[in-house]
Amino acid sequence: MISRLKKITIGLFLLSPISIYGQISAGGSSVLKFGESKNEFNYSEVLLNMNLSNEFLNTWFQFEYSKPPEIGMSINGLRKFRVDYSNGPVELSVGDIYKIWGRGLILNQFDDQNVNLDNGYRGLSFSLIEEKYALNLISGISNINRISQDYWQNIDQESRKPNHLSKHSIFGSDLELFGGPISLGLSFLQSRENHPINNPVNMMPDSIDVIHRINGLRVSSELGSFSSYLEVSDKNTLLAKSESLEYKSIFKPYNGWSLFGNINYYFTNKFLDGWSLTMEYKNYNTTKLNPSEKDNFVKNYDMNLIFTQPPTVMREHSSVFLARLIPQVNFSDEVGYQISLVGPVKNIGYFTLNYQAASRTDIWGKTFPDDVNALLATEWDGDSSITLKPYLNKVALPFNELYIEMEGYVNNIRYQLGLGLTEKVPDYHVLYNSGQNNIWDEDEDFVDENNNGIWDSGEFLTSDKYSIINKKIENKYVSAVTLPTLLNYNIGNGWSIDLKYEFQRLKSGTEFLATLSSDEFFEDLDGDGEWDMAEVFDDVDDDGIWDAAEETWYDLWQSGLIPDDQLYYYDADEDGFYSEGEYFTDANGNNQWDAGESLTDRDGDGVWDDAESLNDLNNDGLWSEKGTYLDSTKSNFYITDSETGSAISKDFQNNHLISLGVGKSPHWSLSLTIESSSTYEYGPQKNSITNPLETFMGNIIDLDNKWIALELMININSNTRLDLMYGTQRGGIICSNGICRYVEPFDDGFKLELSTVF
Amino acid sequence: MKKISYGPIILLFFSTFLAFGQEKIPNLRLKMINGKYAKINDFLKDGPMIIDFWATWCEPCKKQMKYLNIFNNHFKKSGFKVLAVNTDTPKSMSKVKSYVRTKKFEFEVAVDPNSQVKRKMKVLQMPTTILVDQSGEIIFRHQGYLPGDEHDILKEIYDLLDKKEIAYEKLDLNKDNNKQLKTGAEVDF
Repeated sequence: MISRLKKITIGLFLLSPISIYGQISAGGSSVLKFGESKNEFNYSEVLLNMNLSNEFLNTWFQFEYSKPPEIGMSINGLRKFRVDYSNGPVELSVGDIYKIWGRGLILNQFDDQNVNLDNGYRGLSFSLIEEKYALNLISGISNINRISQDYWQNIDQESRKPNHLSKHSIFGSDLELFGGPISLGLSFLQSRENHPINNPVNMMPDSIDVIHRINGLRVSSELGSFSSYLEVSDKNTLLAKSESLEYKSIFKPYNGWSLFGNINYYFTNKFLDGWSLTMEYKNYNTTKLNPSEKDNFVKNYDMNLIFTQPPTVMREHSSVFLARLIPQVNFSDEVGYQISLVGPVKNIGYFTLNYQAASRTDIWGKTFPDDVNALLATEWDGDSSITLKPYLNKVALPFNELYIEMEGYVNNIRYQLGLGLTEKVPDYHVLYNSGQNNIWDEDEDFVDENNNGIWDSGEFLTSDKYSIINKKIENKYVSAVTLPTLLNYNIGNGWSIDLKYEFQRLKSGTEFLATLSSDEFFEDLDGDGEWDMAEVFDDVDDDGIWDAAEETWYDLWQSGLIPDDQLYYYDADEDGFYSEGEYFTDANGNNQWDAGESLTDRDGDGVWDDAESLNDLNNDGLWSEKGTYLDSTKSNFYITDSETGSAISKDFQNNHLISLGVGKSPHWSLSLTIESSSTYEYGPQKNSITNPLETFMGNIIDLDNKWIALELMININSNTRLDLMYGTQRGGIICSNGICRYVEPFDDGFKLELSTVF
Repeated sequence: MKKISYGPIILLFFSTFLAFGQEKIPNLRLKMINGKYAKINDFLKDGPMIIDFWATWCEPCKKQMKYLNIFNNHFKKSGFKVLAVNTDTPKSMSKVKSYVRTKKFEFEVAVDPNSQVKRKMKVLQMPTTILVDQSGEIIFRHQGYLPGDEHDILKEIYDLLDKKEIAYEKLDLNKDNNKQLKTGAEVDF
């Protein structure tokens, strides 16, 4: 309470000079967000921003009332505040500050609530900005909350509440020099960080003190049709002297550099007038991260500082399907480039060609100790060489995308037609199994009990080294062809119609290179100890199923359906067997007894048996034993057999998204969005809830594997806007600023957002 | 001790300032697309202005920008201008210059890569269009863009120029629009 009172008092104190001056301007804004769904994805948030300013001072207070927010910690009260003073070349800020230097290789602070990243600091900023130079000095405290499954404390299963709080004490300076078409920048930033970590000895939550120092240099130029930008930084991380030797010996920080550059060229010749070429390049080498720890910022405290958010060098798509495929950028360890060619095509519209590629900066190999089982191996070796272009090797998690688009107008219709070809390897795992052979090998020690100088069977081996028994290398793969299209028809008088359609053919799964460490598992229905494939039968009537013989009275008597005292009624010739003319079950109604379709009855149970179910790792349709070499793929997708309910694997998933909207300027717009998918994905399936909108739509379309939402936007007045959504939204990855998070599906609920400026 | 909520007190404090009249835009320092710095009041020396917040990923923003370019070119003789503030993060910054140049936009462009100007101007939706008079007073604010909104913005410009008794020529938006459609107007980066 005292702390809160202090904040308020300081706030009022800082505001008081404003009232001394005249020409005061006051205002604010508020955003109300509310969501409730049947699958318990609920949130309620109110954000209130208040601004007060005059010629020299500008204050900002932000209050939040949330329980729970869509993502992040629940806050009730003052969230942010800042006072800015500006007079001539001098600028001074106190409070919650967000700064960006250059393109962010050293400092790029923002408050992005989509991915719950707020990397600003509370402190002081002083700037002196003249025509020839600009100087900025900063100092303050930054407490940064993040969500991590790698930090074993307070893990939130829904990945909505952060559980890792790093505390930074920062100071730094940035100097920009302007000289005609060229400008130069020099930066320095230091952070003393208290970093939560899992103690490597007792595995309990712990923290360490770390010092990060980054120096940077940037230069940009504007020369006629050509402009360029280059920024480099050098990062140095070290453990504080106060840290125990335990940490110092276990984990040594890696120190490295980052580079970003881009060039723009504008064509001015007769044929390509209006065309431009943009090339971007990144090479981020501040830390080397092996595939197992690629995103583990908890252990790898030497990863880039969270204030360092350089360009992603990735195209940001407005297409829903393409946006889902963009990988999370690793700002510590990534190399890549992007090339864009854009220009007008006479009387047709504008053409865009964009190609981007990226990978990690190292080719890693796992190392296997010979004194423990390789299953426990965690060490990797990189080649530590510097690469200038992305690798294609799967261990470097390569990504590439080619995107082509044509956009323009045909009369009053605006069109946009795109084609995206995407390939990526999001994950890579290596798992080896090793064992001891209980036999002396050349470089092993033994107790020579009979002193004959050689190892004899039974003599004790003091070092029986482990050797590899089987190997498994697997990587996830994604490849997709995406066709986003958009049509907008301007009817006139403020009316317009929007039609958006996207199609995606997606391939996703796991590739294996392995020797089987154990037999493939099967369900031994007949208990014979062997996997049985489907029994073969002669499908005489071509109906796809095995038909047993039509049963005679004799069969029915044997199975107890005809009692002994009624046999005289069925066995007309009293010979004790079925004879022509006597009773049988005429299944097909042809008045003739039909024999069963011939059957290879392997288990002798008298009926045809489907194959025994099998965990077919190598996807060859047969049972494989331990030691079999695998080079195969397993898809993530399946459909269910309508008759048996069993899963049938599918290589591709076809996704469709249709959105139809109508708008009346400036008052409202309404849109109906339907997304559908041709397959399910392996993994836990949540029962879908059918809402009234879907019930209505169910009269028109099949609802299986579809997500339907109705969205309404109303401009209540020019300062107030209301957005309403009702229905179901598919879950998935959303990315913002190169950071991605998984968003849970929103099942049968509504969302409301009211934003007001006053 | 009984807990006291200080929120309402602060709201009350702020509300007293609302009596001071129309809201003015703060004289913020902006970083221009060429890397140099400028202050908002520098652009108000000649007359009223539209400040438009946009991003390369925002489709409605791009639909609206072609009209803003028409407004900028048509009314510049009257001292009116458009200032477009780009809010792309550093990841898209390289493409902003190309976009503006390929489209041959003639208005001034500033960059706000960590949304600090956007926050100070209370921008909640993209695009947001703010019409200010020469004294910096906010005359009209519009959030989002639906086809047809350009007519409302044009009407507000007329009203402001009339009120300030600034001479201008009427603009035939349909004629200018058709001219631009024929040459192709939209491009995505």
